Amino acid sequence: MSLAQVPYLTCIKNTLNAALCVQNFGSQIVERHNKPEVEIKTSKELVLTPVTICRTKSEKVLIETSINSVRLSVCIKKSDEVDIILAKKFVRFLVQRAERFVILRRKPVEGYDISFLITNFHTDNMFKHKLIDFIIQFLEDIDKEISDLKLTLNARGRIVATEYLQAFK
Amino acid sequence: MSAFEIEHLATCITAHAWNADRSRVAICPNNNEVHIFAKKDNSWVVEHVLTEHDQVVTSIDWAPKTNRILTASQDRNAYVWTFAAGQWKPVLVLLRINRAATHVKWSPQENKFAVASGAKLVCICFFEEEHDWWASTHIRKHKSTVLKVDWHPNNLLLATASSDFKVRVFDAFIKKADGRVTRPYGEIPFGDPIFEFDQCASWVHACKWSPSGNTLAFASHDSNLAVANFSSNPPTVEKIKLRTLPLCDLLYLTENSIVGVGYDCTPVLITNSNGWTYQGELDKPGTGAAATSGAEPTNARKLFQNKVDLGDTKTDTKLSTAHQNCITTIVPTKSAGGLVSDFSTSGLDGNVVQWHTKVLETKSKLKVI
Amino acid sequence: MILLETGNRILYEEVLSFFENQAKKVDTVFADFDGCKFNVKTNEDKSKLLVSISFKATADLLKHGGSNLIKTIYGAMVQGSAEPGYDMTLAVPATFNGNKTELATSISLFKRNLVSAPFLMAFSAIEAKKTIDIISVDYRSEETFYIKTQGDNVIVVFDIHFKDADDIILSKIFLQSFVDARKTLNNTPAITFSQKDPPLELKGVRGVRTGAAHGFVSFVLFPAHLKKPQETADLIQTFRDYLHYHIKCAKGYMHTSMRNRLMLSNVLSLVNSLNRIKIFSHTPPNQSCFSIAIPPKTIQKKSNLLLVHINNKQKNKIISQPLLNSLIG
Repeated sequence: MSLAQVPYLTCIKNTLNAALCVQNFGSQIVERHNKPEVEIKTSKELVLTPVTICRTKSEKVLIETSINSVRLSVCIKKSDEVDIILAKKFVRFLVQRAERFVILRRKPVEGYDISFLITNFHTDNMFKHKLIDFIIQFLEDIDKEISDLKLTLNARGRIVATEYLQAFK
Repeated sequence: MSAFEIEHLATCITAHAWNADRSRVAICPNNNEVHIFAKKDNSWVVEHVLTEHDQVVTSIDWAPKTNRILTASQDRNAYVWTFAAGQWKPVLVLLRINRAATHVKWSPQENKFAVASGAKLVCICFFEEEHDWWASTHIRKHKSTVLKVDWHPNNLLLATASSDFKVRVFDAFIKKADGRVTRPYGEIPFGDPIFEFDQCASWVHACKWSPSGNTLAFASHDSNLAVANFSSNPPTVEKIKLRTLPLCDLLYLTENSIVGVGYDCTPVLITNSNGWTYQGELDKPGTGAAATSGAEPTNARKLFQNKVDLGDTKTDTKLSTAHQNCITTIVPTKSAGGLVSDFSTSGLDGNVVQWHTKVLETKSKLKVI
Repeated sequence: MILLETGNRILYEEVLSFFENQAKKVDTVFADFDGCKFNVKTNEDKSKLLVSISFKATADLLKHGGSNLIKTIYGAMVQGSAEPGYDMTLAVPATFNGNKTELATSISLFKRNLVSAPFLMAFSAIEAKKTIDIISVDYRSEETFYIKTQGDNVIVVFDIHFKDADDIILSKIFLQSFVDARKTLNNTPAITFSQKDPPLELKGVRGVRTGAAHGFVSFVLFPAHLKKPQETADLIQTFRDYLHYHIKCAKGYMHTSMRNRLMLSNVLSLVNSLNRIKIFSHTPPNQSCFSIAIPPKTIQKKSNLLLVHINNKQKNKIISQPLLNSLIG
């Protein structure tokens, strides 16, 4: 993890630690149903005030909490057009494989690149602190992957250009 | 002697309750069943499996005197189970609700019980001899799901905790069950709240009367704990802000000491000596209240901090607490001389932990008063 | 070799095989860059092999020096009228008894020779200290290249159209690298590029396409380059395909790298770590909310050719971490 990211990720960690206090909660609207309140938003008293944690204008997370579910939406760092393409590809890659990791929401919340939906059923079955570590690890990896790809792209451009121009000699 | 004994009974436990002599424990393993464990030699084995509900069981209460088990589930039903001829027989309670039942509690005299529900009401249930069934009357007046209920020792007053951020106290007098008794606040119409407490800024997870019934403690999701004192009318409320994650359940060890459990996975002690104060975690070697109160980061947080600071990426580290996930229930298991000397907790990690107050006191250097 | 070949391999092989096995009837259609289509077919009595080309720019190219050049190279082989549906046809007689490999090479360069024509014309005009009018060759449905003389130099401008928005951004990186790479190399053509708007060199030229999807790349070829006219023409004419080829490669690389890193290391280990954070207990695992993290297929890691086959029996097991580590490497 780069040093500059530490406060940002720590902040997300601590917020998630507080946000992921969810409980089993049967729907009070629909009989015999149990739905993530953060998604359906039918009872406003069951939804807490959402929190946005920003590092830069484009790099931020939105944490929405309710009594039985938490929704975490991530906006990946996009400093230039290449970042946008890479982030888009990366996210599409993951979303297409959403069933493989259960907490991924198939469709990101509007204005964000990728969203997770964590319900009480996930916290029942998984250790909360490891779940949080997982998300932090994910945020780290996504940044690393994008900057790596960008470096290789630039390196390729350089080789391609040099090779071509050298042929003129 | 260790401060606690851990029994891992299931993957995840939503509720647990003990019988009168603590030889058996009923738990719900986060599904539609209730498992009754009995101690055989040195291990706990399943003795009975109660399968009548068809959705997750939310609450279990085992009446000590009449040996009846009361279960409630998200399938909108509650059952009273009686033991006869080696079998537990269910009797359906006529709740007449159309949302999940969230919490159940026998009244101290076990002649009636309360069922909290997602239908924004509480059912007060009593046995109708002439029809041979459990009938119920409804207390409405809630604006959201009722999460917890608790009976006053006088068998009449009922406190409710709701996700509409309020705690209410009702007079749950039922003529058919209670007969002629003196009611503490007079002839209040059934279903009207006597008191309404709005000290909480979020949904209220727990409410508990003190052993004498003089105070009522309640804890909410904004990590507040409030204690209402009924020696005056209207009652005075003292509110303390906790630095921990929210508490899910409370237990009075004595009139002046409360143990709270919740998302921090460890019991904490709050005591009253001229005002309620947070004392610290009970299951942690401590140097006294001053060092452990307030600013001490939670174990979970410390773990994260380590990872950030030291780059510790081992994902298999365990929490240092006895429970590895949120604690949902705390019940007393042994009382002696006005002090709960043993209590048990169960949590989403599937552990049932039995704690010994005296040993905890020595270990944490905290004082139960 | 990351530079593209100018000849067409299929064409080369077809011509050789025609001489090797003259009894065989042939009728093959195949494609080349720039929407170019070839047809190789024997005539009825198998006395000739007809090589036809269908290429959008043929008319433009023939007008600008193409017809002379083709005549010089292929001479009598050029068939008076092209086969129906094609723009030009070469007829290779079965009786040819010269060097067949040379002939095949020469025919495989059919398209290259055609496209080289205007370049060579412009280059020779500079040699002769003449100026020529701007030449525009409309060689693809949305794309054109322009050749212009300016003093001692020849300027070639490609109007490159990008169908995919991502390609525009990737091409920017590549083109910027061309501009940057030039600084460290001597004797290279000057390169400039512009997005959307055509460069000043094209001022006054009619029918220039503009828009966000169009990129303009101009090469300024100095006299030094004109000393090797054919090599320079070859390089310049493959530029557009070279660029696109590498954009595609970059995308392909990005995809596989994401696949490898994500599927093998990242997601898999992420999913696996999700599995590990699941609370293990003595209750049967079929209640768990996670099932299998790895598809029951073969997982292959290219670098050390480690192959692991996960059969159906293992499908529902969580693959152990040491195995995963060896997979990820």
